[in-house]
Amino acid sequence: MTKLTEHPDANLLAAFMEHALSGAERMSVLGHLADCARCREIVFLAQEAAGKEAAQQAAVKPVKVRARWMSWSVAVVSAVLLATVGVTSWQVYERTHKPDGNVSPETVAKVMPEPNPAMNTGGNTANHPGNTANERNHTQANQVLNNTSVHAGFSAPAVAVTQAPAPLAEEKEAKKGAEINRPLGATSAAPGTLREDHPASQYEPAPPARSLIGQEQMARQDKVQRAVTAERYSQQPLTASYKSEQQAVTAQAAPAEMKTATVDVTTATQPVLETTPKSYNGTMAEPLRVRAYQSFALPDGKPAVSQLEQSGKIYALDKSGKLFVSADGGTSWREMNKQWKGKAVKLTRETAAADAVLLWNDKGKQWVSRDGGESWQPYTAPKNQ
Amino acid sequence: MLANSERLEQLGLPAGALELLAKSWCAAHGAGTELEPDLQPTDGFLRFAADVVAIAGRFRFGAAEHLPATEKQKLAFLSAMKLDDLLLARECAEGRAEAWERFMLLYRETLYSAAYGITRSEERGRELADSLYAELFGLKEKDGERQSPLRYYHGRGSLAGWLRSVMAQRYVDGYRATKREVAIEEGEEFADARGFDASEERASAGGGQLEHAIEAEMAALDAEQRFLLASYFIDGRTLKQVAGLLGVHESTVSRQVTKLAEQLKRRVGKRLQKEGLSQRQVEEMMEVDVRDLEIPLKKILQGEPRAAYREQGGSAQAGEIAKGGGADD
Repeated sequence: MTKLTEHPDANLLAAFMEHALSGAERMSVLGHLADCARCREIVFLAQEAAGKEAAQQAAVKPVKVRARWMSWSVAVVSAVLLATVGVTSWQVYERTHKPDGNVSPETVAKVMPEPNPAMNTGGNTANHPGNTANERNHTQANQVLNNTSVHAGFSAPAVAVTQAPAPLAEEKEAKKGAEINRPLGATSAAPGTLREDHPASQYEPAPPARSLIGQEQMARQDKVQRAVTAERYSQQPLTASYKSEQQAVTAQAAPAEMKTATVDVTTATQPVLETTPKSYNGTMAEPLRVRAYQSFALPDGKPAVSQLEQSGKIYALDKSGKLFVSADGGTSWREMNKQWKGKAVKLTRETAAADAVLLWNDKGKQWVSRDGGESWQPYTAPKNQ
Repeated sequence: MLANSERLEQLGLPAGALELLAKSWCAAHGAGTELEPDLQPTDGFLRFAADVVAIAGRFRFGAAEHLPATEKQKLAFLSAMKLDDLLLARECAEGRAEAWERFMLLYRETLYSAAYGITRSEERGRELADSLYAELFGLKEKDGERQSPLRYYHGRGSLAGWLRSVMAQRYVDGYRATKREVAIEEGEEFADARGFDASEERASAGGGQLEHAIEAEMAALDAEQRFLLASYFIDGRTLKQVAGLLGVHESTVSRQVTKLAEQLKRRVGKRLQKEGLSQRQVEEMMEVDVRDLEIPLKKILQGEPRAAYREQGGSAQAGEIAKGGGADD
């Protein structure tokens, strides 16, 4: 042990007090402290000061714990409020969007409690009555993100003009932050009537009330909703002639096996749809119909996560990645053999060919089918795309 | 002229040390913590690295004397250093405004609460803290360069601990300078002035045998044991205080103190017997209670045993005691 020939400086004393010295250094300092009352006094004073400061900081900690607890309690309360608002909004939505004026939401709910292949709902799983508001919204978001079909944007069943929602209800919805629960791209009235009843500025959804949780989800949905809105109205300028068009919107009661509400709009002023069902049980006559999607009931009981209408066929992927194709508007489905690698997660159109469908797997690889889903080949996007 | 990267290489930092330094540097300057090898180190970073290497070298990177430090030892030493605090202290010493802002944010509270705790007086504490702060800020200049004690902080302990030690040093030295005496108990002064009591007479009658025996046995104790005895018996520190400083539990200190006192008494008795005293004589001599052993013990532990025995044997004067108690000052 090296004996210190002079008093240790503040550095050594501080390091000694914090046990940061090596063994030999510590013994040197201790040896000096054993003989030097002055240095002993210094270290004990400094140590006492450190102890008092630590005690003061410890006294502050319970407040922080409380604050943390409070933040948790606020989060829980917000979640409960959000759920309540969601349920309330769904109820309001149900009341104001009856598929059939004579059919109450309760009856509809009773009729459609379970997925039923016979019920051709047009394909939007988001509005399946069995889903919660959040599930619907999430599914809708996925659909819009995964499916370029314009149909995905028309997720709300149409209602008669006469059944335009009460402004108060909408206002209340907006105030409560119910935008999150509003089906994406949906409004309370048919697209044809919107621009008259709701000025464009109003159509832009108001920023919903932000809760402590789910803000990211809300932001994502807002973004998607705006994108869908912009897309829908990019081809539809607000003109006087538009206003004078027939705006009779009827909610057709679908047959028992089909739960699809359609909106009759005139051809001239409506956005050109990417796909038009060429034949549809013979019940769809001209003019064009905009199919309002409800949930697809796939044969395996799982809802569709991605769907596409092309050349009179409906292609649908379920959660497990199985591909189903229906040639009769969703009445019956055929599961296609897996001819791709990985899990299929998305269906899109091949832009170069009108009848080609692209299937995406979870690794981003694509397969194309040009024969209605019978055969699939690996696909490489052309360079000019 | 060498590029900064070459100069950095010449410092001989062990593998992994550069990342440590870079992490502290980047954290202090708001940059990302990733070290980008393609970038040239700045002059500031180079100065910091050189400073760290110099400090570590002064302590031989924690290696034993006459033994070179291994790469692992060097890295361990540097890892144990408070590099963030060191960087802050250096930048404060250079007078950087943002560094001082951060220093005040982090250490203003420490400075003042330490001052109040040390002085036990708000007024004196504020005075002490203000004067230290001014000194740290570097109001003094020498050859156009700011003189700040922060320049001498070397990062082995935390900056907060260093500030407390500096403050305690200022206080103790200031107190001693004004009072012109060391901290000794009034009772001892008074006792020495009064003369002997019976136990002291017996002790001195042993012809210094007892003192010599005690001195010899004390020298056989290691530094920690002597520190323990000095802190507990002389300074009157509590077991908790001593335990905190030694980094052990209070009960450990209690056991050690009791064990040491008994051990000391037993060994002194044996030594006296070896020197020819009978058991009875030893017992009589040792009737000087262990607590009474404090008197020569204090003097021994304060480093002037001969003077202590002389004072005890002759007429004691308060002034000489005050001088004798100055220890190493």
